[in-house]
Amino acid sequence: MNIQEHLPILVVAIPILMSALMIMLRSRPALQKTLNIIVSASILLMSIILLLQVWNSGIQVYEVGEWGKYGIVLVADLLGSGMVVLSSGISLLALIYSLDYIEGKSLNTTYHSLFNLLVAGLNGTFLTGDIFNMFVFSEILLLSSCGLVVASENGGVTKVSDKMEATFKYLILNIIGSMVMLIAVASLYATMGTLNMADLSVKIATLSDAGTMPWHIYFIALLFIIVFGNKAAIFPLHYWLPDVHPTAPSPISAMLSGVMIKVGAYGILRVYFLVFKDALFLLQPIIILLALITIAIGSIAAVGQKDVKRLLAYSSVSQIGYVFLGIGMGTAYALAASLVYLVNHAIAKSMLFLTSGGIIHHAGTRDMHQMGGMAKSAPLMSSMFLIGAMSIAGLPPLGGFIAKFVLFDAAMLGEYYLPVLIGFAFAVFTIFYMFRAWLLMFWGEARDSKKYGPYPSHGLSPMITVPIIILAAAVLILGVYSEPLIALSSEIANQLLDPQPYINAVLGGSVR
Amino acid sequence: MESFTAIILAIFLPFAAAIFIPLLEKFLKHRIGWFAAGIALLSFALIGIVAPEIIHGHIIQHSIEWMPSIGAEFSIYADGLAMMIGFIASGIGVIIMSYSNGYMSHKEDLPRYYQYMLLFMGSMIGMVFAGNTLQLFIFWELTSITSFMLIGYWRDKPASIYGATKSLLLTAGGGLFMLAGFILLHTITGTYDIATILQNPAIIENIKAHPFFLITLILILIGAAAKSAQGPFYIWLPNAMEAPTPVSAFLHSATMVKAGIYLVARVHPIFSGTEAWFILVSGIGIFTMLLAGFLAFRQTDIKAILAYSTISQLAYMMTMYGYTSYHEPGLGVAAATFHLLNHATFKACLFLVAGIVAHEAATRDIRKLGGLRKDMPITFIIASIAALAMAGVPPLNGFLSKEMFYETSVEMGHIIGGPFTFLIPAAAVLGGVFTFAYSIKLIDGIFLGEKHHGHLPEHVHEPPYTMLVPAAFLAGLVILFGLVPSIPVHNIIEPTTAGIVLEEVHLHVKLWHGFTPALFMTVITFIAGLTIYTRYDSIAAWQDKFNARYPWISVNYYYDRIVDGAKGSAKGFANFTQPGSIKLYIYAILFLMVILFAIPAFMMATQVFPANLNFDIPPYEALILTLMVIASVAAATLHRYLPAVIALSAVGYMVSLVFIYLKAPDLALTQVLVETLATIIFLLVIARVPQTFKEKIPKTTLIRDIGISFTVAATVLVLLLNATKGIAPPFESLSHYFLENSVKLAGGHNVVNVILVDFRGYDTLGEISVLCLAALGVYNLIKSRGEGE
Repeated sequence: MNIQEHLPILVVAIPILMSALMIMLRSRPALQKTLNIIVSASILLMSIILLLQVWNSGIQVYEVGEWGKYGIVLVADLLGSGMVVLSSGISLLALIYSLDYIEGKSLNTTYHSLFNLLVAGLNGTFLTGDIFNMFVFSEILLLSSCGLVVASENGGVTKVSDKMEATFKYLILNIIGSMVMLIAVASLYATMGTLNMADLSVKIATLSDAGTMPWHIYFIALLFIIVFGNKAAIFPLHYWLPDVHPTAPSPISAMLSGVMIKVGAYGILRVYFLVFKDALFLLQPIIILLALITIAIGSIAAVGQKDVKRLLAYSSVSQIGYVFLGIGMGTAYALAASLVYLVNHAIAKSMLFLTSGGIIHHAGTRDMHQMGGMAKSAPLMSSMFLIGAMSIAGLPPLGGFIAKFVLFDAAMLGEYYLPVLIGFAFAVFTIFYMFRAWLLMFWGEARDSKKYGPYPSHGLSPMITVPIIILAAAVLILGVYSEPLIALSSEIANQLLDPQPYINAVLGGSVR
Repeated sequence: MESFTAIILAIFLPFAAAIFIPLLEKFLKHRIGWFAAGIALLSFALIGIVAPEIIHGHIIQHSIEWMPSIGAEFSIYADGLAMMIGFIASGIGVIIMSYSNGYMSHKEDLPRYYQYMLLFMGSMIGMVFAGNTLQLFIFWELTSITSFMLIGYWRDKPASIYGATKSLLLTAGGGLFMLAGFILLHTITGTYDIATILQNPAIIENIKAHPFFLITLILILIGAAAKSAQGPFYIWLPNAMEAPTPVSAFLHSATMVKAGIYLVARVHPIFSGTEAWFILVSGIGIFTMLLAGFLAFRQTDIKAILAYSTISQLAYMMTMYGYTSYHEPGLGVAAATFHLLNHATFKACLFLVAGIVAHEAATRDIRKLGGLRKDMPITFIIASIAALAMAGVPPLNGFLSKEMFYETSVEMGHIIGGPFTFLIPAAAVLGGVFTFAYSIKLIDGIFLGEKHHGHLPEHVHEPPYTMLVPAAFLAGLVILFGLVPSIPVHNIIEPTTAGIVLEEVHLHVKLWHGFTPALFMTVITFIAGLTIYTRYDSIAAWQDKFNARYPWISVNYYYDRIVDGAKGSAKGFANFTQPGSIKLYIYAILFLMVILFAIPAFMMATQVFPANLNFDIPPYEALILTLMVIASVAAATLHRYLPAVIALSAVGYMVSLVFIYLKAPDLALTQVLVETLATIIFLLVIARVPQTFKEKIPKTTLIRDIGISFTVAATVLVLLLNATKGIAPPFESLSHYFLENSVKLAGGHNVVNVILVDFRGYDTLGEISVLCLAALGVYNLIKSRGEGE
């Protein structure tokens, strides 16, 4: 047996197994921590091997139970395995960060389990080739993240009732999204008789060529905007995000903003460019319009925030708008640009949320008006936040700049002049709100210590600082030398625009 | 050493040094400034290595692979223009960083100061030698950011923060527009490479004929104007004076603010020779020159006077670079370039003097200063040389470039003809008159007249040599360039001009030109300048009065309104779009769903409802469905919990009846179990809460909600009616495969079970995980509740 063949299932199955194991080990916290880090690191390693395998020898298909298209297949193409690498990397760092950040009891009992299921949910969603299976894994994602949002932090500043309220909104709005997905998948199955995405792609193409496509297929296709738009938090489906991301513990905020909302972008890419290619002409103008409104709403609202994490959350809304702008334009270059943007935002925003955790630790509040002058007392957090902020604002020499640059370049070449104009205008907003936040927190005079008390002097443990520094280094490296990322993204874009190899890999030969 | 390596080192040495400064500071303590000055000197020398090659008319070009996927290389383009500004950046860098050793108190955070100084210097050198627009932009923004950091060096002062923010928003924000211009340029030409464009007349012709010509030009000029504080963007520079004075001397007079001018010079061959270029570039230039020169009068802080004067002087250069015509595209280039160099010397010198004065006299307020010539005679002489050079007095270097300014203004006016023959030279002279007046004010206000003993220390001393020598050195250059102009002209100005107009240039710059119109204009300037100077204070008073009466005639007014207003209205906007009520959010989702339904229904559908719907419903089926509808309505309308819950569970039991009717006993069993459990849990919960719904729903809300529910239900109904028509031909359902193979391959007779645990066992694993998750989530909730409240 060649273990490499089983990588797609391993990155899903191991975390599920670990999740069960973690509950059993709840009285052995040290063992739990060590084991979980080892497992997370090995999942990252496996995902990298998987990506290299796909890069070198093409799309990998894994049949769960050898039923071919009648059962469930896992498909690792460049997009899927690339997303797994991204999410595994950020997960590992968020996990390390959590070990000192999350309150001990919460950590031992449920946190490890839930975190592992979150990882399983992410990897499962990215690797599945079956649309119903995608629904199942997005449910896992939803519920595990709900459980993690309410986990308590050491020295937490968020009231439990706030967390409850936010989680309630998150749950309700996302369950509506799930219901829509269920309706869409069920109707699709009833009409097409299959759930395998490659198979669906072939069948829909056949209908389209024959000119006998039932009109409701288009409606089903558009319903996926709600399904994935809800996950990605694009307008008008973004309302849950600014409540949930700030109330979650910082490492979970990092996971939510860094990886979870990208599932929405992934889903749109997967479902539209594989299954509903023929609905793209309908989808693209809608996506561009919604993306532009999302950019505008997110960045305007971010300007008015005083809670640092809420500001970052609104910024995520606005930034995911840029990702969707690239998807909406849909040329090979624009898709590549959108992926470059996605990766850069994932890294920079998760870094910023982790940093905000350190800041909250230091200041004991999320209110930026109760901070000030912290450049002296927390110099590391100051420079880390600045790096992240500059990257999000698209300033060189950081990754976010390359991302904005390729996105705007692609848009201009695609002759999307108005979107470019709006994109640029709100880029100035981004500079404004990001630097305003940084200045409020780190410059100016130290806060009134009579009113708010002095800053607690305790430092941050390496478990908290090292993940931030690693992410910051990644942000910097991506700014100075982005070539591997751009090359990978371009190749992914090519795979997306020509799904035939994917279809051949899934349906060709091996399928009975 | 290879030229390319030398330039790369000149750029990145300061970056590398900046990284090690905090470490070195441990050993060198306050002497770290000399290390920084040494690095600057090294960069200067490295540029010096390549200078002879460039002076002989060779352009150094080299590139290495960087991001081939988007066609970007890391490339160096070293022509005269790059060399000149490279020399200015590193040379003034040496002077300023030496001076800083005396200026900056040892108690200050010196590593941070020198770090950003070096980072800035490296970025500036990197920018001018950049071989493609992408690289140019990267270093451009780096200079903006380092400038931001240095303006805000005293970061706990609100004024610093205000000035830093303003400069960042305008220069970095303006940079984005420039980037947009570069991207358009890429769209037109297909390349980022500067050399490719410059050395290809066909490409330049193509750009000039392209419909995007004007918008590209405007975008790039916005970036240039924002950086060089031109036009309405001038407002950031006066506030940037919050920086330590050496920073102002370095960044905000000699180097960084020249970046915009550099950009204009760099793209000059691409856009010049067109009317648009002249109107836009010279137009901004003349407007800014007059406005800033005039506004300098009411300033009381000597650094503010210098700031306005810098804006006005930069506008001279803009104006001259704008002078162009079809036959003579590079009309004003030589003059502008020479003035750029001269300005770097005398203005930096004046800033250093301002620093000395503030350092020794403890104030920069020109109303409090005066009569310092006796206390600090050397400083007085240095300051006079620099100020007179700025005023355009012979035999100093400012005189020469101003003469050239007047000369080219006359020529340009002549080329355009009509009233402009007179208007353009007149504007130039008026600009010169303002400059003359405030230059005299600087000398008079600080050094001449009576000493105001109440405001000044009893004994004001000359500064230490570390501060005096750099200023004296610059004053020496001012005289040298004035007396022997051939040195800078042959070595710097000619190659630079050649780099801009793209052909070999020979200039003849002399102190005495004979009785030319320019000389005549200079004489007018001096006479008018002296006349105006006698009325200096009353003009300033009038300006103050005007400003007090019409505060809204000011760019700053709008900047503050917008920036302050932005926070408030953004907050309002956020609250408006995010009111917090989950109901509205659900409306939003449902509304989107209805729209997404309407689009294909109207665009694609020939028949929204499927044909041949079967309305032949068996009586028992009809009965179950009717009961279901009744139960649902009851669940929604009953006002007490208990009956509502029971009605709701009735719906569930009806569903299980439907399952039984459709011959799916196991599903029905599951449904019954789920329903029973849910009802029991519900009943347990509601036993502990009040039994009636308290809130009364207003009628309008009720109608609206019912409307929305019906619309959404209708869209889902239509979808399901269409979907349940059956598998679209020619495909068939997977069910056949399951039915055929259930026993054969999986060995199970219950097909549903086989699907669940075998064909799609992976899904089931996921669903089991979901169940566990729900349990864990509930456990978490209970636990955090127990601890929290």
